[in-house]
Amino acid sequence: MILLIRVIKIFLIFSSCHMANLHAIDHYKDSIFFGNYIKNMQQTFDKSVKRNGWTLAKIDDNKYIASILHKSYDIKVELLVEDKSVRLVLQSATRPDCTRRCKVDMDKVEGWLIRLRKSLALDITYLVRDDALAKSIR
Amino acid sequence: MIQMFLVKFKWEFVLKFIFLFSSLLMLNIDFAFAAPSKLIFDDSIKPRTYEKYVKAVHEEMYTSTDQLDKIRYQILQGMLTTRGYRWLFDGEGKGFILARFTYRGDTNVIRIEYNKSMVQLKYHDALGDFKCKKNVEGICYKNARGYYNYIKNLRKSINAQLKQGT
Repeated sequence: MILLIRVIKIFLIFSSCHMANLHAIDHYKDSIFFGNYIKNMQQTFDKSVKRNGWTLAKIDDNKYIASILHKSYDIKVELLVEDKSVRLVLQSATRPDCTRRCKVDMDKVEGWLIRLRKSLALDITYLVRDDALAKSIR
Repeated sequence: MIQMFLVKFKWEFVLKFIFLFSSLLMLNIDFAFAAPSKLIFDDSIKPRTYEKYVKAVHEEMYTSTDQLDKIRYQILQGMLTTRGYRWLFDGEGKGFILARFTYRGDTNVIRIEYNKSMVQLKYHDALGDFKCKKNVEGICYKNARGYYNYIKNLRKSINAQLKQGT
């Protein structure tokens, strides 16, 4: 009986771990790998976030805050740097000066976050491409 | 006697070993064989779409140089010059680059595999309408028509870069 319970326990661990292995992608939460391609992180991030009207503030070397006030929405997002990649974490989405119909539409917020991620990924792609060009003519 | 053996035998260790081994296999199987190969369309696979659609996306492309750095650059340049939409870098490994496309609520990640003679696009992951319904070793035999239309442009763009040979 004990053996049977153990076997079931191991089977459950086994199957749950396999489920975890099946990675699921997300529209904006996935981290963007930048490896050693970024030389000046703040400058690169600043350029990327400004493209869509966001402003960047550095908290420390591994954490930046991007914020935007757009169409009555006040959004704050963390840019977390870990394992040579950056990922977006929504900190807050509010509508402080709204007077009517003040529900926060998370689809809109997600749309803006997707754009922000795309903007960051675009600059990283340019850096990877330039690095590849330099290596190819070396 | 047999019952004693079954009880005393370290089944837990055996099962743990199988679990660890298969987990490692699951993690690495996608990338262990990250190499382009000639597309042979399998008619017996079901469900599947028309051969011309699968070929428009997954057919191998031939390089005009054997320098891997140059081929890598051509792929990245092809991603950024795709008609209608720029594909973005999403990571890389030995012999492959991940390219990502997010548009109108759909996300697609394609694994661009390359070696000295060939480049091939393989299905990696998707979110939304473009999740592959029949994925056979990175070749997507059944998906929404939009999948074949969007990724066809990426293949064309990379192929144009490979032919330029710059």
